[in-house]
Amino acid sequence: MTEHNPLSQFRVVGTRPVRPDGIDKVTGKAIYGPDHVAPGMIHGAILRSPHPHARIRSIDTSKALALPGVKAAVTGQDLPHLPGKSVSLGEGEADLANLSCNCLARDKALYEGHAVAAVAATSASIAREALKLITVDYEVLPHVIDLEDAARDDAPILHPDLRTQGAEEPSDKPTNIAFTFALKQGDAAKALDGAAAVASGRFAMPPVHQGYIEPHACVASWNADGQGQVWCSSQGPFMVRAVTAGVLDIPVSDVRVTPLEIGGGFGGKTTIYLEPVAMLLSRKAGRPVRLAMSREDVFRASGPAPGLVVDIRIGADAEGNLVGIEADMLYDAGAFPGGGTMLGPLVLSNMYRYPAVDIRTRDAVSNKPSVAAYRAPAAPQITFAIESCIDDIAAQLGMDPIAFRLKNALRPGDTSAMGMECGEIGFVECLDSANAQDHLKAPLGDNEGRGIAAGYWINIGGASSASVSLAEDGSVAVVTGNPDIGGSRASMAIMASERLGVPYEKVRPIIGDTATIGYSVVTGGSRTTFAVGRAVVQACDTIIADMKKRAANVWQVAEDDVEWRNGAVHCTAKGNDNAPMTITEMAENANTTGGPIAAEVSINPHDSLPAYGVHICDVAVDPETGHVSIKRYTVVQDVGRAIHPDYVEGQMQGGAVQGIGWALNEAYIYNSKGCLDNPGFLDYRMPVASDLPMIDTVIVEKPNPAHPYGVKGVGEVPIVPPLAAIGNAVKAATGKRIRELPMSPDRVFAAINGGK
Amino acid sequence: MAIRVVPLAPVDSQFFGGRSELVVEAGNLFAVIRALEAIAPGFLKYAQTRAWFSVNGAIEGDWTATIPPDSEVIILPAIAGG
Amino acid sequence: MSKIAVTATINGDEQEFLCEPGESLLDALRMRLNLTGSKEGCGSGDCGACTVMMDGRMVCSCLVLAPEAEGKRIETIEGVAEGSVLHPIQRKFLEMGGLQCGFCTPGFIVAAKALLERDPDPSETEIRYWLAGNLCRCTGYDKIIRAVQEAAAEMRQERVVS
Ligand code: FES
Ligand code: FES
Repeated sequence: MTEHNPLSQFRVVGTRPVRPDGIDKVTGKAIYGPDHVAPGMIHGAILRSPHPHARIRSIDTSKALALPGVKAAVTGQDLPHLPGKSVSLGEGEADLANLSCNCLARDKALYEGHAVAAVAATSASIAREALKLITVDYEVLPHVIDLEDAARDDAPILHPDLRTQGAEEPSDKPTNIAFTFALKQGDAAKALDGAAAVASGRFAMPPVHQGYIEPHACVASWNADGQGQVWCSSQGPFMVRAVTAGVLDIPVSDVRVTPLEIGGGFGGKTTIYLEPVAMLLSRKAGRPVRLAMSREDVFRASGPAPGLVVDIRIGADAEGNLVGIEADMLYDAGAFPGGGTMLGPLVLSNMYRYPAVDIRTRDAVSNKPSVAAYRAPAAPQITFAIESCIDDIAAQLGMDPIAFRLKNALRPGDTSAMGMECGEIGFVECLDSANAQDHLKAPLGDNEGRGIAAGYWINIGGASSASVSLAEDGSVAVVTGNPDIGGSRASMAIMASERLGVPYEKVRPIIGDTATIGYSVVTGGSRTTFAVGRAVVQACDTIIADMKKRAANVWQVAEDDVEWRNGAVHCTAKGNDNAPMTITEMAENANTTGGPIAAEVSINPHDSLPAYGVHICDVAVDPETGHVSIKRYTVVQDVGRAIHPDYVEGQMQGGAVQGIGWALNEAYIYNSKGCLDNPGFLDYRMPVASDLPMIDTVIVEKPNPAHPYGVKGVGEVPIVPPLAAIGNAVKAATGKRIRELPMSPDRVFAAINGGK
Repeated sequence: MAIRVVPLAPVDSQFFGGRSELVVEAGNLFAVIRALEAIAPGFLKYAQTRAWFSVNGAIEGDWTATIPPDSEVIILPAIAGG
Repeated sequence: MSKIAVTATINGDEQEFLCEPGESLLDALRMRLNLTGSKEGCGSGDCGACTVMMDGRMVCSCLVLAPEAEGKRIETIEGVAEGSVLHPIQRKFLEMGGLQCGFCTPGFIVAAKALLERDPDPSETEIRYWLAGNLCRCTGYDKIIRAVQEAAAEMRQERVVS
């Protein structure tokens, strides 16, 4: 079942045309990251550390270089040593130093799989052979994997220069705690001590991977004159350009990045791993160099999303009003600082009204791969804790879980604990819609339970560029700088078609390289249809204004007497019988009315609105094995406006299923040597088709006034609620509250059989 | 025009000696940030890359936009997405 | 390294290529024959992105050695459409939003075609189990399953008519 009622006020917005890049993608013609070939290209390979923590005393590549066919070898010493690296960790400059060290270790390997050297050779097999000839002299150091161990005073230190940022009392002692942030309002402890119902506990979950099916890959070509080119899949070619140039310490304009089709990112491709290394190899070899990760490399050295340990306490009075929240969060950063720790408090403070708040968040480095964004970064983890507690409080008070949430949900006009005023948010509408679903009334069988949970994501805006140009026959080219990760070409074409009044098929959306369109930040944060879409519409409006002006000149009337309607200029001057001119006629006459008709618009909107979702989930728990299966699942979400509902529903379904995997199966598992035990899809088990039912979707549309068609953003929030929705369903089925992820059969079995 | 500036952690301790509120004279965010740079050198660079500014509850990305008198500006660390 | 000459019928055409003894069929298709429609998601038989047909059998081409293709009939995603006419499964994937990033799509389409050739009327459960070797991280499978169901219905219809 799929519910969506497009508002009839639009001609194309809300319809479901075939995506412009569709045929290439169902026939195998589309060129993804690993598919690109450049003339004369040779193949690179990367040597990775077998140790989770080791000092690199020396690296000898001479034997590798002597192997016939090997054209170049590089180590971390070939990357510029970026000044400021050790003093300003956590800030812009330090990020580059860390990124550089993550691409190629400089003096220490900080996790198993950390890149330490690379070669390029005439074939991939020679390059792999050459890796075996590189000798690295390691001094193995004690490692720390567990998050709480890493935060202890006596833990092995990863970065001797690291000091906690944001600490109230700055200390000069080396530490693994990179960042801390606290937010206090009112007296939460007192409020909670006097509360009628309190839920509390320690929730914990290990890192999980984004799991995109396309491994990272790129081709780079760097000429002796300094000009470089990179072809790769990423969530943003301008991001790749900025960090590649930054890590290599060269002018940004010397790097031109051409985006290829991207085979999934989910945040994991908002950073880079290979590009500077491929550039260095290319410079040395004088040939384009291809570098690609294997699936094992992807698990060991990219992503993941941070694990979290949180102690939380939430309480309500007898009438069901929340009185306060306490939370102490510790997020994983992986090998380098920068785990997006701030996002935990953001999420905590943007769901419900709390008169008193006492929260602290920290992140700690450990000998695991450096964490990367994953769909609504940091939100699923903390929401698992919040929504589990909210459910328990409702149960203690004997209140319906949706009614309890409705009573406390943030509404437009409320101010969150972080001081941000809520605009036209749709949390209440989502809860109301969930309340009306038939799903809630469906009968449950033995050992089955139903859970609901809500989720929030901020949705961002940010720098965005788009150009719109008319071809001679009135067809339209729309160029943006944002990779199409799940149908965004279609939504750009729909918005341009709607605005210009031309058929959808006459709009060709193109994704430009970094030299063909103005700067845009990554496709991510649920921003593309909102922010880039707004740039597209503004560019359309610019050429419409231009065409009106030209028509006024043609007709010799005032501009005010020209109106744009249904893809044509109309003359409204009294007593004037000028026939309307269509966009096709305007295009045909462009050169006699002032030249080509085109516009490029660059904007930086920040007035995006958050998205809220509510999920309903039925599970069956097998009492013999502890296995949890999903019987029925409904996703309700406010998206502002669905431009292409298929891809909106697709995001809701895909996000929910990633959340289901996170809840039930997925986890980074380390052995005692600090090495990842499950770096493949066999043991890192993501949901497959036979694990799942259909995922029902209900699109709620409460338009965003800051977008011409009301878009808020879709992609992130659907991964947020499933963890708790499933936890709440398991509780309903078994009576047991599980506070650790994943809810794997052994853990559930232990809980049923007398565990906590 | 007096503008109330509230730096959230870690900006408060990192730049303003832990002060939870400052008052500056300014008509737009550029002027606010210039005034803060005078108090805490280095803040401008931080502001450009690592901070968001909320003016009376709403994030403002255009530093040239006029801020009404007696406004409240909250400084919060920039947030990215996936 | 001495190379091996392999002759195989690929998407109906006889093709010859040289490969290394230990090279996978997937690498040979992608690197030697420039048929990059088959994707490598894992290289270990766990994701199905590299699915092709070999003598009518569905295989993970990452697990097949290229020299084993000698004398065999190989069908890849590039051979699913007849000329420029899309196969009903391809069309239904497009019409029903059965792909987001599209990286898993070639594998799903080849696998779904193999299923519908064996069983023109599979149940939802049968489709889900048949496709359980194909990973998709974007869609949650819902629209993929529906696309296969619709394609099956349309193909049954065509069979009745013709
Ligand atoms: S690449 Fe062959 S199964 Fe994954
Ligand atoms: S559409 Fe992206 S993996 Fe399936």
